[in-house]
Amino acid sequence: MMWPRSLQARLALSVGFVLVLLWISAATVTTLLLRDEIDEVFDSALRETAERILPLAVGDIVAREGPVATQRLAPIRAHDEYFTYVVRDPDGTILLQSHEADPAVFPAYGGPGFSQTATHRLFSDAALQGTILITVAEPLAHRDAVTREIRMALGLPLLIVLPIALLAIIGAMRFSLAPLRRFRARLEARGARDLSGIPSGDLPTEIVPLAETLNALLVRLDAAFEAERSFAANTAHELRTPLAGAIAQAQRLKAETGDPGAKTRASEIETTLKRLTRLCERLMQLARAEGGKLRRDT
Amino acid sequence: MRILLVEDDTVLGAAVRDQIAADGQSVDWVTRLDAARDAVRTTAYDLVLLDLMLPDGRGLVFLKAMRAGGDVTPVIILTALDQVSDRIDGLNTGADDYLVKPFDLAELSARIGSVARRYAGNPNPLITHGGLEIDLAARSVFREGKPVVLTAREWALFEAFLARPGQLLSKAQLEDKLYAFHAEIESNTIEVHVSRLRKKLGPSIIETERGLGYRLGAA
Repeated sequence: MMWPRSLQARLALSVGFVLVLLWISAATVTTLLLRDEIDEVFDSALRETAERILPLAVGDIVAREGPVATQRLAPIRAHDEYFTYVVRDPDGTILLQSHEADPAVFPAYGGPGFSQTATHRLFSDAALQGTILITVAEPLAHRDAVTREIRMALGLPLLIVLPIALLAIIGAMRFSLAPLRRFRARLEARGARDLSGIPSGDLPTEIVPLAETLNALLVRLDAAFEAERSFAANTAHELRTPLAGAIAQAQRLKAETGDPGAKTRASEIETTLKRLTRLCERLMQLARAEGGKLRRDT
Repeated sequence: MRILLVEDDTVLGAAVRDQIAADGQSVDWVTRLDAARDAVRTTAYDLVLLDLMLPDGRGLVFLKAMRAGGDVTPVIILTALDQVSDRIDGLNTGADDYLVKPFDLAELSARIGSVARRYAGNPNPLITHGGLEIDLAARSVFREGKPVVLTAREWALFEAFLARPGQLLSKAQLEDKLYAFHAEIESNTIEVHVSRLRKKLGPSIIETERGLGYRLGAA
């Protein structure tokens, strides 16, 4: 993707990008931390369940008469079970099981404590010198679902809040850059020959030096044009006055002298001076035209 | 006519002064604006020739102050600035005419005459006064179709009467008009010239109000 030339688009894009990145990493870290906490809570619940059920199961089994048989506890009301359990003797015969317990899920008894299979988290314990063993299982899928739900809950605001945040950023950019746009509009609106300064009034402080530099440049340019113009005007004045004096004196000489020879000479002087004047005029016109061209080209 | 010349360039100023004097006008020449201010305050001029760039200020400022003070003396600007905007500024400030340096002295004389005639109320240089035909521009007078030759001093005096027909002019006012020749002015100079004008143009051309002055009479 091309990096946009517009300051506004650049700022909006970069701020938006950083915002998305920060949000995603914050959500990820939160999820990882929560996963540990969730494991602890669920493990504790698993252990608590086993320890609560075991004495009841022992009492139930000891009081039982007749041959050993598997007893499946019917649910009081139909419900899904997150926790399932089996109570077995050391031979692996199931003495008691919860109504949805799947014996295939439970591996052979491997001592008290936590263990884990590919699909379940297990807690086992023993009573009556190891003759009655309990194992409680909780599907790992349950924990994953909880984690997923939390992750969704963290990610959802990203989808809703992020577009709003981006819009807000764009709005803030437009608002902050409005003085800059006005400055540009003022610059565009003026004629090419207008070399007066542009008021920098409400510009952001970062841009003010730029405007000041521009204004200083305009002032210098204007001064240069003015110097050019006044040079032409001054030269005109400096040259014309002595020429005018010399021509006038020659004319007076011509008028006052009675000597025909002197009259002719005075006429010749006058003619030459007038030719010199025309030459000067042409030079000054040239200088002025140059100055005018310079001014027009801006 | 009595003319004030404000010009700081001595070479040009001297030539202009001599040209005006040769036309039979009186000239006061100053090279600075403060001197020009003093001059217009103390003397009633018929015309001012004003340079725009003077060592102690700009001529336009002086002109503006003159007009603001109610002075309606005709002013012709002499300047080396030839931009149209400069000319417009000068005319808008209250100048009557404009000459760009270098100019022809004959043109200067013509413009002085033209501005002076307009101020006198008749821009036509050809005047008929009784049996006299006068060309103010050419400085010629015909009496009954025959040319009359007037000296510069006689002409200056006659022009002063023509510019204010019917108005009484004191001896002092008339002496002022001959100021350019003041070196030769004596107590009876005006009487001498008036009697010469009467001889050349007719005995009733100038009337005498005894003790008050003279005025233009019928030819």
